[in-house]
Amino acid sequence: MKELLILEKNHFHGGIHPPECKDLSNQQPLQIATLPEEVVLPLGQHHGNLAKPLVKPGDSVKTGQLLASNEQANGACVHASISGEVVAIESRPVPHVSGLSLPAIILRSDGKDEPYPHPGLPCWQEASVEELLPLIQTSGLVGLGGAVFPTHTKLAGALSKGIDTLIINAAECEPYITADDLLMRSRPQALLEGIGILNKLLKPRQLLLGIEDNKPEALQALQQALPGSTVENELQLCVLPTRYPSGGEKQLIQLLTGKEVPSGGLPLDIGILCHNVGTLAALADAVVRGRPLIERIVTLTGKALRHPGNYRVRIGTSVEKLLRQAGLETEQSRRVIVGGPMMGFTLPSTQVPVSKAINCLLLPTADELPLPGPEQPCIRCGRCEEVCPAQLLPQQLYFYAAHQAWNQAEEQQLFDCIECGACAWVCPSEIPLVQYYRYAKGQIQQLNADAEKAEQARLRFEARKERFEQEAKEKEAKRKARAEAAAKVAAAKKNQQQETAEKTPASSAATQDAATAKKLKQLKVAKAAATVAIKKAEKSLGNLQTSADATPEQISEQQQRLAAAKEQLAKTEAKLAAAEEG
Amino acid sequence: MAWIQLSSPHAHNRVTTDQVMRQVLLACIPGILALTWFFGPGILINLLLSCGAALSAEALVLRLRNRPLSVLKDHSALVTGVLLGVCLPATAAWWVPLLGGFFALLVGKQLFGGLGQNPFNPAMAAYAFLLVSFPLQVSIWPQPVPPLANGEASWLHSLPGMDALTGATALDAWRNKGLLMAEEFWQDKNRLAPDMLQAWASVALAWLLGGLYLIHQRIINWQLPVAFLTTLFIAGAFVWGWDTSHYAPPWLHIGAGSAVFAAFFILTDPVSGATSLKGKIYFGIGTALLVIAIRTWGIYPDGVAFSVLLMNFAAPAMDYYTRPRVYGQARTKSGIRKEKQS
Repeated sequence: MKELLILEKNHFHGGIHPPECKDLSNQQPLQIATLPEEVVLPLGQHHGNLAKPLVKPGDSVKTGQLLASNEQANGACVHASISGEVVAIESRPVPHVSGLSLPAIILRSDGKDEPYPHPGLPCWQEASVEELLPLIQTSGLVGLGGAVFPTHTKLAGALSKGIDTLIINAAECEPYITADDLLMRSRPQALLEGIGILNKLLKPRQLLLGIEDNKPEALQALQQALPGSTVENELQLCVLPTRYPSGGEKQLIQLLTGKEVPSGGLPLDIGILCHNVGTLAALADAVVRGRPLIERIVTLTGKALRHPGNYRVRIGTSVEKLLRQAGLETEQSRRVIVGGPMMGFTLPSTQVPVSKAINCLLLPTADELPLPGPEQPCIRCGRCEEVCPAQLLPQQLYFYAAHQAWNQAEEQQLFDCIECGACAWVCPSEIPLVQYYRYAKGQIQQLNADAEKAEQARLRFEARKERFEQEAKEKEAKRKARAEAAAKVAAAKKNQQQETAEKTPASSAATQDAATAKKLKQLKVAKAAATVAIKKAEKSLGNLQTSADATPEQISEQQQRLAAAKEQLAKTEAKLAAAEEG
Repeated sequence: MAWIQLSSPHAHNRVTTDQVMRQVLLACIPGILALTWFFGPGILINLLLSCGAALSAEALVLRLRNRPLSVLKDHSALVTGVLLGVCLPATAAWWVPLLGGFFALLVGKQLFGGLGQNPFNPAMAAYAFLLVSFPLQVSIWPQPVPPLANGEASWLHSLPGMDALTGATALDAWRNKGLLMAEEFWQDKNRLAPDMLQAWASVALAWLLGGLYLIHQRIINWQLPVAFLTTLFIAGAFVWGWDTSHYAPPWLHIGAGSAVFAAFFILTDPVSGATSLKGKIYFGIGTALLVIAIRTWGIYPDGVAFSVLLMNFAAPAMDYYTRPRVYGQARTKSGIRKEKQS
């Protein structure tokens, strides 16, 4: 077992230490939420494409049965979290800041909670990558830390690139949230199994687990469980000073390795992979126990709840019912925050299911987290800059965002902002800085997309113009070539004629022949022209005769024309006949 | 039931601008007490007039701009009034602080759009205005006589309106010593009032006390005052070393005059100063160099106000050139942005 590494000094810039408020929910043991009567399973609970349903209304399903699959690279499968009947597949609101609706499978419980048999890979230590990866994919695993990125996609990327360091994120730096804390206290074995599986799969050079020093019980549980586990000799436990946002992926990497994720890049680019403890325990459940992702630990906290604590909740359970179970006093709270007070978002309604992404539901009273006061002018005090973990200049970013100076905002590396909210937390003028940055990012992305579109249209237009020009040129060139060829032929003929005429009188017959042929051709053309003239005259005559307002003069004129044309034809024909005979 | 929707973060450390301003006012108390002790209650009257002028000017503009008068509660106008008031001699005429207070708020601050918008330190802008317009009113200080020191000469007997003994401040006296050697200057009691140096040093200590409080309360950071005072000392020592009998010694630069007060209360004004930490340090260094230059070669004895105003000009450029390296960026991007070639 490796010795505990205590990182005395934080090595990321800034950071804050807001009131932790963790004892509100971590004093009670992990509880099991009551089995829901109905679950709503959105087909898109992860970061990526929607899953395709494999069942239809009326089907009966068992707990853990695959309901919707996703073959795409960035997709995640959906499983039945209870046993029962598929009631409907329809659009339902999902936990989203905008009140977004997505297609979802709705199950009604039969109360039995009958498990669907999944073998899993209990002897995973002998299993190959080819066996493990598909199992992980069909288990519907996503990152449970909040990003909800499909786990198998992340692992496939790490496998193809190879990694140096695997970091297990147990920092849980957000105030109030204790889901990971309780998980480590109550199921350290599962976590270590999960770490073991990844260790086998990815073979990193080092395994680091970062945990803040405000979770001594969890750390102790891990230390006790470590001997005898598969990663006993590899796993390095690192204790971090409690400082928000040490659990931010980039900050944790900086703390543990001293490296920085390049701007716009991924940890994989520097050979690092980060996983949250919840994901790893779920991974162990899926692989060792054949249990796909159908439940997760949710922290229900805030002073507006009579029974705060951590609950094991089936995915798809109604948030409303869950909150009632935790003793929500509705008159006490006017906000439902998903996630913590620093980066969480507020729900417009509680009539949504618990999705894989929900790690905490926070219901603060008005005294606990007062509503922000009116925004005051920025006095450029620089406190935001002192606490920014990305070492940005938040006051400048705010200035540019507020004045819609997008270029300058980008120039100040707006997109390196991780939206941790430390700047807004310290701002004495109570400026909602993060909101300004989100707005600016959205605007810039929109502008860039528009610019991209315009650029493509321009390219298309220019290509078209060029093509037309090219075609015109080719035509011109062809015409020229033809004209030249014709001129050459004509010149050659002329030469030939002259030559023959000069050289031999015998050839005069040939010349005469040529002259006759020419004459014949001319006569034929004249005949054709005369035929056309007749037809034309006939047609206009017919028109005149049918139309009502034609004068007799006009008709007679046309008749004369017709006669003249016929006469012309007759003449030409006669000449032609004579010529042919001659 | 309608749930409130708000953008993150949902928590705040509950320190607001008016609390910051209150802390600054609190930190001014030792300085004000020391000034009053040595120079009499004229200081307090100045403060009352300048603060009254500042607040009423701010209220007037708020009315004209149809802004709520509750903005006054952010205490920023009061801070400006206090910072101006403590710069003015106890014997100044009543209209001097009044005019200064109006000028600070109207021209120095509100003309630019109010709190957070002013490019110059309003108190220093007003002080410079007064100094240029009424040099005598602003530069002659009363003789420092603590009330208990000497019954006859105490300011208890020379309340405003009465004839007080006035004299030049140490820096002013030094400026006007002409070709006198340093040794002769120190011996000539007529040029420098005997207790003047001690009084100003005590006042500087009182300001230092307030400044340390501000640092302790994390209202200001320590780097800027330290950069300013250190540079002042080093540059002062350099000039002094050039000709010790002609130029002022470095301790005089720090102990006499407004250097300590400016270091903690004027340079640290966030609005008109540089905003990045590195920028703040350069701001301090630049101001100190200008102060030494003005005191050594200029016509004004002190020069802090002008130095600060000049550096206020430079602050935005300093912010451009002192940007820290952002996480994940290979190198620091600084300097003024070049327009993208399209």
